[in-house]
Amino acid sequence: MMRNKSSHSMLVVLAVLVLIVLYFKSGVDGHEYFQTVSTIRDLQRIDADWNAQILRTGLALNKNFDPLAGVLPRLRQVKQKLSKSELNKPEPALADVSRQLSYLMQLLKQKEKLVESFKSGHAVMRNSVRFLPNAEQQLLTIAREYELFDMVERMRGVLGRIYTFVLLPNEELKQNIIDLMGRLQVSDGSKDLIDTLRMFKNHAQLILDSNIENKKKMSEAVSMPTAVAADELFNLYDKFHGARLARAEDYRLALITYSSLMVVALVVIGLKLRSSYRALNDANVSLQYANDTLEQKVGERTRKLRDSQSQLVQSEKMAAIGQMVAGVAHEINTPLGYVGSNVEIIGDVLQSLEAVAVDFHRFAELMQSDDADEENIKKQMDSIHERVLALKENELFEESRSLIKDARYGLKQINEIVLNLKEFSRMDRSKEDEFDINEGLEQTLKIAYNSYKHEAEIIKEFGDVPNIRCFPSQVNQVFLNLITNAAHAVSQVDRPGIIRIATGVQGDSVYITIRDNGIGMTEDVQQRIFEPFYTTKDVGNGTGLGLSITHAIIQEHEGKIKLLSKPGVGSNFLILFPIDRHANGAQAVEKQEMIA
Amino acid sequence: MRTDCGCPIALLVWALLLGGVSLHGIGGPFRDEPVKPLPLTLQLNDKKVYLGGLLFHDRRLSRNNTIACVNCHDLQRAGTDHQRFSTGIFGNLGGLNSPTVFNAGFNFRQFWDGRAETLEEQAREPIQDPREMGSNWGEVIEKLRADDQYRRFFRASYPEGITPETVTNAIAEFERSLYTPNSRFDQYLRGDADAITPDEKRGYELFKSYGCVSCHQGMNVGGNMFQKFGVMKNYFKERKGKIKNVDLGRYNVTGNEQDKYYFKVPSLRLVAFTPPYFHDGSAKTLREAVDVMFEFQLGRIGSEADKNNIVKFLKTLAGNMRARGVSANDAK
Repeated sequence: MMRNKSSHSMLVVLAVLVLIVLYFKSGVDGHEYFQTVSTIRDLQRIDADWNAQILRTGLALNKNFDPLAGVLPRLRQVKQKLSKSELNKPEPALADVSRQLSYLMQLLKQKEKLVESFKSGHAVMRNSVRFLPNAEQQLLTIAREYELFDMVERMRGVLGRIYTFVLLPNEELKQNIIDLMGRLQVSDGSKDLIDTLRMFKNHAQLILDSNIENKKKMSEAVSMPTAVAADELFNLYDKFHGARLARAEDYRLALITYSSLMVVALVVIGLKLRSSYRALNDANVSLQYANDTLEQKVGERTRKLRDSQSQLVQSEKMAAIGQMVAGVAHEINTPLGYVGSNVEIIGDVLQSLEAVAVDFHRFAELMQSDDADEENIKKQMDSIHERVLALKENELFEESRSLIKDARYGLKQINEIVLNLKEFSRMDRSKEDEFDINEGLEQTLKIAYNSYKHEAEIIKEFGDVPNIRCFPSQVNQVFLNLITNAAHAVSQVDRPGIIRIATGVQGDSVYITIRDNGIGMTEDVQQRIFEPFYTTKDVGNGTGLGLSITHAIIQEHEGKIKLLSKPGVGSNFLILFPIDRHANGAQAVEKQEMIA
Repeated sequence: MRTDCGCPIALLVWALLLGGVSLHGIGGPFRDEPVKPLPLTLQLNDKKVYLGGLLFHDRRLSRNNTIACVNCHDLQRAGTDHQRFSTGIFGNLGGLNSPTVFNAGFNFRQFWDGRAETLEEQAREPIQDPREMGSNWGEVIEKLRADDQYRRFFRASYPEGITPETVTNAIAEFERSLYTPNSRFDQYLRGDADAITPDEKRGYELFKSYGCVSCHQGMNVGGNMFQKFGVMKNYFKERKGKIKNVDLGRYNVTGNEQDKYYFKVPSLRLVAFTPPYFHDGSAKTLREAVDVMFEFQLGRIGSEADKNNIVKFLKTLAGNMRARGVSANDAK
């Protein structure tokens, strides 16, 4: 699960990374391109300017070198810009471009060298050129002094050619001037003339020597293919930029495709999420529904169970009562039998008494009649006497009294049984009430009398116990079940049965032990004894619910039931009821009502 | 803006067209002369100038805290030490004459051989030169970072704080502030005909006609080109003593045989105040230097009067030497 999660987030990060890469690859820094192109154009402009200044200097249009030197800082700036620009990036795609750039830089450097060399030579030549008119003037003055008119003419010729040479230098003219200068000789004359002539020749020679070269340097400098190289640089760079744009276009296409795919993927994921959310929601709803109906069903079941449980309790009660009815009928039958016979005998006695009463009535009539006959009186007297005597002889009165007394006793017994039965069932007392356990046991014993009277001797060891709050009919049922079971258990062994019933207080509880010396139970049976419908009795002899109901009732009263038993030795049930069950009484009441 | 190369004539026409415009532009209110006036104002970052001034005077830039930039470029002495060769750390004597730091910002390159293209590039060399300040960036940066004031100042001007780049940039910015505008000659160039005397005017005309101006031109009166020392005559042959490595000049940078004995043409703006002269400090006086120039560079013979007038003219080139931001008295 964890790994799944992390791989998912990795996927997301990867997708976003691809997006970012594509995004950046699809963008081209147009600003840098235009900046660089404009720098190349600047360079070309400066270069052209430079050429102009070189030519202007060469043609002596510039009075100093400031304009020419002034190009250098501008050029330096642009060169720096270019070498810092994209053109100089060590990128394979830019290899051609940077090669061309370094070629251009090299050209510019060469050009600068040429220009500097040209400047130096030009300055010197200009110096000499400037000197020439001076020298001419000096020489002409001196020559005229010495009347060397021939020489003056030759000098003019040389000078004119030199001026031409300054403007249009060529080898032919140079040679011509050298020849002419060679003929400028003075064999005699002043030192002035000789010195001045030498100076003139020196400067003229310098012009001849340097002018061609200077002009060559100048034209070489201006015809350096810097502009072409810059154009080529631009072309290469433009080509690179075009390729880059095309590539960027591809990336842009890829980006659009990719992002569309991403959007589609997002939509799909969203839809999936929505549908799964909906499914989840549906599941939730049906779960909720199931839950609700389950609750309802559970409620129903519980109610049914409760119903059936209370029915079970009731039916167990009825079964128990049914079981007892025979015993109870017998109990009633016995007193009823002798009450009946006694009443019959008393009826017979009443016949004798009726005859005596009739005799007395005749005697009374005879005595009142006018024709009373002694004999008749006597005869009548004798008969009464005879009859009363017979009554006395047969002890009829004593017997009758005894019979009535017996009948009364029998009736009292019956009455008592009926009362106990009524008390036991307590149909009218299903509500919680104060209850004396000992009394409950007494009543139960009376009710159950028939079940144990032939089987066991009851030994009561009742202690002094406080009343507990409980449902008396239910607790009685517990007792009845246990006593009946005990009676049943002892009935299955030959030895005389003893059932000991003891009560008492132990800690916070009231205890009741019901111990028998009956057949006992195996471990197996003990384990299952409180299970519903488990029974060891023959079919028809028990519902198998007795002890499970017992167990349930005790639990509902927050009591405990424990069993100690050994096969062949007997069983001992211990029941504990809490004395004060009112810490959570309300709850108990509610549960109790469920059971009831 | 595509130029057809291999066709110089087209370029030429082009250049003339372009030049026509700028010709008038340059003309303007100034006299159309090969020497131009220095600008009266410069756009500089005052905070960086101040910071650079502190650094320029700070001996902690040297290994044992004894040498500051200002030791050899004394602002009280026109940005030089007035010595033939400068003395570095542990009394090491250098092999070249210290050029002035004033107006160095207008030079097209730095050092006698022009090996540094910018003041920033220049500034890093003496700090690390074992004969000059003998330090290294690790030490310097550590020392500067230990200083609360520097940390605060650098933070105010440079987001990256104290680094070799920012240290040299601040120094360079300070050096750019060391320029000498409004000299009498500049005033003359700007139209004040009486700003210089007739002798000085004459000196300027001679300066031009003798050809000095061929190299010493522009607003810095030099400092914008290289030139061979000994154009018309071999200087080093005539000079006493053997040729040293430093005498090879630009050759030491390019390795080109043709560049031997080529040096950056120095600015003459403060030439009146910065003896001795030349890379080897061989000329003790300006007059002497003018002689050497006449002989070896111009290949001309000049009269005493002419040379004196030229010297007079040269003295008009120096303008206001007050350093902006930091005065020389702030030196530690």
